[in-house]
Amino acid sequence: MSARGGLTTRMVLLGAALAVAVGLAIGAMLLTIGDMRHAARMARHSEQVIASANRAEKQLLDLETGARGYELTRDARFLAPWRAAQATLPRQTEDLAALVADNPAQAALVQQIAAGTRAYLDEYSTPLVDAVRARRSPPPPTAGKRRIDALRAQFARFDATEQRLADRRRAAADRAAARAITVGVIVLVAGVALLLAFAAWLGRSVAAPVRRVAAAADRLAAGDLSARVEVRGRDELARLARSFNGMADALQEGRDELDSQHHELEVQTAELEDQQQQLATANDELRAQRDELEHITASLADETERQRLFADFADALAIDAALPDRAATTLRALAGAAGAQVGALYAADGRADGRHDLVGTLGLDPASLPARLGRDDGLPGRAIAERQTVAAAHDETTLRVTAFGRETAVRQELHVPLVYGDRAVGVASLGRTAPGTVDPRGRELLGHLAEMAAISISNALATTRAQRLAVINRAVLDSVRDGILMTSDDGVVLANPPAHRLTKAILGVTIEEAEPLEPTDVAARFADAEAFLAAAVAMAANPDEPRFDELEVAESGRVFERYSAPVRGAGGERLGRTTVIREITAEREAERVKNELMATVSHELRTPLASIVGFTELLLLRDPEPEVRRSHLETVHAEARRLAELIDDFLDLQRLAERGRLPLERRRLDLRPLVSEQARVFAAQSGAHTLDVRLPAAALMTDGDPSRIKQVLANLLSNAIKYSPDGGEIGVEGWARDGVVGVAVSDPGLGIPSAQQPRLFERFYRAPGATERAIGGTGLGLALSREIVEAHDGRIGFESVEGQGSRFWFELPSSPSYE
Amino acid sequence: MAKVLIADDQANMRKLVRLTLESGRFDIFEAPDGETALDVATRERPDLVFLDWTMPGQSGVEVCRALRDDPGNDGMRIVMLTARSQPEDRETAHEMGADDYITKPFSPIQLLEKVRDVLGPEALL
Repeated sequence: MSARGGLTTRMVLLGAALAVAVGLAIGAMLLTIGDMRHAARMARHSEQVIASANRAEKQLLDLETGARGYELTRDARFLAPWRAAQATLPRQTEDLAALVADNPAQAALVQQIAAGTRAYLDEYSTPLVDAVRARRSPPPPTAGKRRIDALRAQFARFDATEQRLADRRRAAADRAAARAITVGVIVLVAGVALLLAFAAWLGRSVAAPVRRVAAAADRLAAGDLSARVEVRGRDELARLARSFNGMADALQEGRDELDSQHHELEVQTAELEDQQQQLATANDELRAQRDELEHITASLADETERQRLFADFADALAIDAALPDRAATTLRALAGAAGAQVGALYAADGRADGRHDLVGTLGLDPASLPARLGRDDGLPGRAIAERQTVAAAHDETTLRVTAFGRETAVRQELHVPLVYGDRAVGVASLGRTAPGTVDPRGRELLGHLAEMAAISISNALATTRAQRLAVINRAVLDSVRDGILMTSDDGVVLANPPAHRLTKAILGVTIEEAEPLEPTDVAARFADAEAFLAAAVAMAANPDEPRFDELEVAESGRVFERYSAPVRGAGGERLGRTTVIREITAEREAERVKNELMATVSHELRTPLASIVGFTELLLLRDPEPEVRRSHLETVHAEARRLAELIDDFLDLQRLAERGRLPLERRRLDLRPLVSEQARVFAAQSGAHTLDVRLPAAALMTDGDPSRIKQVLANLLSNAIKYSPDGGEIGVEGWARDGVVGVAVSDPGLGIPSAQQPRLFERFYRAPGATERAIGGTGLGLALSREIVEAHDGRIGFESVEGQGSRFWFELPSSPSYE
Repeated sequence: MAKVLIADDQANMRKLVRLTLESGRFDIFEAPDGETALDVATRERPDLVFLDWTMPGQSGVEVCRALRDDPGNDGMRIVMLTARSQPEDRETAHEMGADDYITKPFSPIQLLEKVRDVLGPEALL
């Protein structure tokens, strides 16, 4: 692009020239205006000078008139302007001097005025005022008048000069203003002319070519692709025209091509329409398939929902194993499936009567429902009996239940049996407050849920039964006296409280401490350690054999019976061994006592029998003299009597053992003859003893069995004689007091050691040493005596000191005397 | 003549034994308790002693043991004559040194047979 020929360059150059011209014109105008302002300022200065001179002159006059007034009137009021003038006049003249400092002539004049003023003040005006004040004679007024006139003349000259200067300056200012206006008009006109010229140039060289291009563009836009622009010159506009022409050419070419493409497109469109038709057909098919898929998806979702429901139900059932929780879960699920609001669940505990217990409710007060149901109890009973769901619809008024705290009408009731195997384990009674029926799908769902619930409830019932059984088993195990212990390879599996106690008693350690011990560790505790070890060996060798043995603990003397047998599971597998331990110390002791008694009884029976047998044989063998024979027979007779008594004692004991109480044949009697008779009998038996019998004069009346009371007396007397082997006096006394009658027998014999005293009335008890001392007796005498006395509602007792004898007594209720 | 000591607290028993042996030629001594029995035995050195078990003071087996512990009683025959009939009683008596054991009640003939067994048939002549 050529810079010289460029439109932009030309426009910049022309614009710059125009700006310079306008700038010069404005500069000239500003200079003219500056002159004008200077002239005006000078004129204003002159006016200020004149005003200042006038103010100084006026103050001079104030001095004069003030002083003169004061002189004439002596009034102090005239001194006020004088004083003011006296104070300000020197400054006023200095100001004036400053204002005309640029004008030497005027400045000199001001100096003269200032000097004159000072002279006037110092030489005349001040002395005048002082004189007047001091009432002295003032200076002559003429001197003052002369000086004032001179000064006023100087002021007049100064003013005139200054006035001339001001006039001159004002004229200069007016001229400068006129010149400035002229210059301004010229500049304005010339600037407008130049701008017009520039605008005209722009219009010719830029706007016209642009308009031509625009017109061609309009034609082009209207579709006339033949529109072209004439190209002139070589500037940007020419380039624009050329570009436009190029563009138009290109457009022409493009449209030709488009025409051919359009044709092609038409052909393709036709094809496309054909294809679209086919697509529409395919689309219809697809829609049909989609509908089908949606249907399948919906069923799948439905099925998934059902499966989820089942799974949730199963989970909920699994969480709570207890029957009430499962019942509640079941009711919620079944009511949800049936759209029911209230419900109750009954379950059978497998009892023989087949009745069902209320185990859960939904929205109902359990107290308002029957606690148990049978097969004959209405619709739920029918559901149980038929194992079929029973439904019944009601109109609004027939069935009303109290639910959720208010009376609610049940419009439909459903009784769903919970069938497990071939047994109805329960029935869920559901109530809908809304009318209508459950649809088939709902019924099917209910059926499935009921099946699941039946299994779950059945399990819960079984669990409840098992728990109850476990509790019972536990309670039974805990309540037995025997120690029951089960051991396996893992150690002690089960041990009831007695087992713990007995283990401690036998081994001296707890079960836990005993577990790691070997038989050899504890064998020493037993009286028969070898037998214990042998048993342990045998048990280890034959684990399947039951064993039975006794263990006597050497230290305590306690005896334990041990039964041990293998425990087998349902499948016959060995689970371990049960050991049952029972303490038999008391039994062994009782047995020992009984054996001893048997030996004693045997001994006691054999002793008289020996006499009987021996003497009768002698009689048979030797046929002795009559006196000898009689003596023998008497001996036989006495021994036979003794034998009979022993047998009676023994039989009494047997009766006591069997019935617990002796039979009595009571009648009203006096004790005194019985006592006397027995005393006589026993006095005759022993030569070594004397009997001292003391009975009251009055009868000792009681209601009693005379033969039994005689037995007691005989026993006490016999003991008194037997246990005083050295002979002596046996005291017998009787008494009556406070509604009782009593008899006591005292002896001077061996006495009873205090340790033995508490056991004295025990059955089969014999004082230690009794056998060694050949003191006969069955060990039953005192025991029988006590039984007899207590059977009469009486009391028996004794006092005894070892080595000093004993006193046995008994008291019976007295019978009222009729005398 | 053989010497026989009868120790029994029951007079009837002593009498019965004495009467039974009356037919033979014996010097018969009696004792009503263990202490007396030991005194008599030490003094008389009997050939045969019948000992009851249950007697006041020392029991028959204690007397038996005491007799056996005395070397002066060499050759002395001791027969327990007792109502105690348990097998263990027999064992105890044997351990204590008794030669024989007769359980009450007994037949006089049986007693004589025992005497013959213990002292020999000539004792009864």
